[in-house]
Amino acid sequence: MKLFAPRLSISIKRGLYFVVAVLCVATRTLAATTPVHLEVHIGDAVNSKPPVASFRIVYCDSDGDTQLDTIALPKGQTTLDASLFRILATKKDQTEEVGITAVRISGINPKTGYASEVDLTPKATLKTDFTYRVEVGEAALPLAPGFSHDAKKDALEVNAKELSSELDYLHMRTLQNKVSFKEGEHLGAGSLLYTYRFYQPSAGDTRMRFVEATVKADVDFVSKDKSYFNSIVGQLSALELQTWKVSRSFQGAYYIGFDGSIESDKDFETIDGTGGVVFKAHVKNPITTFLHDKILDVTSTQGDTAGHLLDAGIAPLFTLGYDYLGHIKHSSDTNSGHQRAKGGFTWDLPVARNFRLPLFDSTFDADVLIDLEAIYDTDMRVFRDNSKITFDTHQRKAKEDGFAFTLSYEHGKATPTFKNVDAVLAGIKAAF
Amino acid sequence: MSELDRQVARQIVCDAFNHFTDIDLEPTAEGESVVIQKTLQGLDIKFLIAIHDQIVSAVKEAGCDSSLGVSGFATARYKTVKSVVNDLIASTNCP
Repeated sequence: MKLFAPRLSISIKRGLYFVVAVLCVATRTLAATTPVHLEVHIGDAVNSKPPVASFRIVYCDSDGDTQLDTIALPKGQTTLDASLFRILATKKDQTEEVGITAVRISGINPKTGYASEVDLTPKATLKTDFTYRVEVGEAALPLAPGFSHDAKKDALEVNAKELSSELDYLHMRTLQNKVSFKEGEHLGAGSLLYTYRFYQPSAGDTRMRFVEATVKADVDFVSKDKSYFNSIVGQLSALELQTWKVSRSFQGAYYIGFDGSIESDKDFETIDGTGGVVFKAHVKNPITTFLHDKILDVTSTQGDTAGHLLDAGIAPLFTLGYDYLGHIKHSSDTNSGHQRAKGGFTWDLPVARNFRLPLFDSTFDADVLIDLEAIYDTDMRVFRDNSKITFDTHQRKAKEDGFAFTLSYEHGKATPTFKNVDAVLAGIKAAF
Repeated sequence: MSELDRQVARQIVCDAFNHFTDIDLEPTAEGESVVIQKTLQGLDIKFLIAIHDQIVSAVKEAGCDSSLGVSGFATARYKTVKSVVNDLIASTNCP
């Protein structure tokens, strides 16, 4: 027994060393693995005419701040089988699957060969009254070494606001010249709609131009009293946008736009019309740039990072406009006429960035929002102001459900009631 | 995308943003760290489209295509010039 005892002791020791070594390697491997999760965003399908929204699937780091090149697919592969993915559209508890016309891999890092995103082009046009969710097949997007998939953090439902913005954008730049007829209550009756849309993107010295005109007529071709039109509504909006630059510190962008509508009854006896022109310009200038930089440098400098580099504040926005409201009924309490000239100034001054508050784990931002508007009623010959100054504190990285505190001073007469306001208002927003 | 130089991409993004911001974004390591999420979220969608158009047209002038959607860089995430450049590069294909 004595002879075996030392051998057994050595074997146990070796075994323990082996287990410890394995645990060390495993721990090191786990520690070196970066957890990533999948997110879905909305993008544009490249080269599609008319432009369509596509779903972009990406791997992000744990904060969701950075999109990573982590999709490891065979070299040269630029497409994937559509059956690996599903797009589900839901409206009022009813879910249907949306077909996929193409799956495209992009953002391939030339050094590593790993891709950063996969775009799914849907067969159907996306709509804002649906919610969309993407399902990704297991092992559809293999990860590069050094990364692990944290599926619990996957965010595969499309953000509604993001979808809405993208669809607004797509709508705006989709050319259209078409007539459509929607049938009404009986045969021969319905709505006739004509749409003209023109979009010219800015490129080089070319200005961005956008024109949209619609005419909608409710018609009844089998009307007994031979009044074939019930009503006609015409709308026109147009804008031209351009950037301008005097010097590096004095530059900006502006647009001039027009919005108008006209509506008539079937006898063309009552015609209502509204029309307005608007000029909006961002004016980057040395004064607001100085204030932006100095205030943030004092309140928010952290270590080597200057405060003003924590946020690129928006240059002040100046607005001028004129509105005409024809044949619009107005009661005496509104005391307003048909023509108004408007001028406005809007500026979001960042006051502090990335600061901490007691009881909260996350950091906060604070802003002063200055929104001044003066309106001159040319019929009534009176000036009105409609102004608001707001101090706003909110969580820095939170999305719409984050905590926020606002304190605002409002003064003037705001539409639609035109009742005088002169008040300090406070509000808290919290998710629960 | 790969042939599109990162420095050129930074220049494109900074030029586009400099028309709308209170600071001067430099296409340098320091400039690229500036957070621009609030700029994007606070802009009228028409101006947002202008930034997007400028970026995409500059990419196209370089002979490439970009699938960077206007909302792809406008919402949801904590954006720096660096991350917009990364998104731009990730969404760009050059022949």
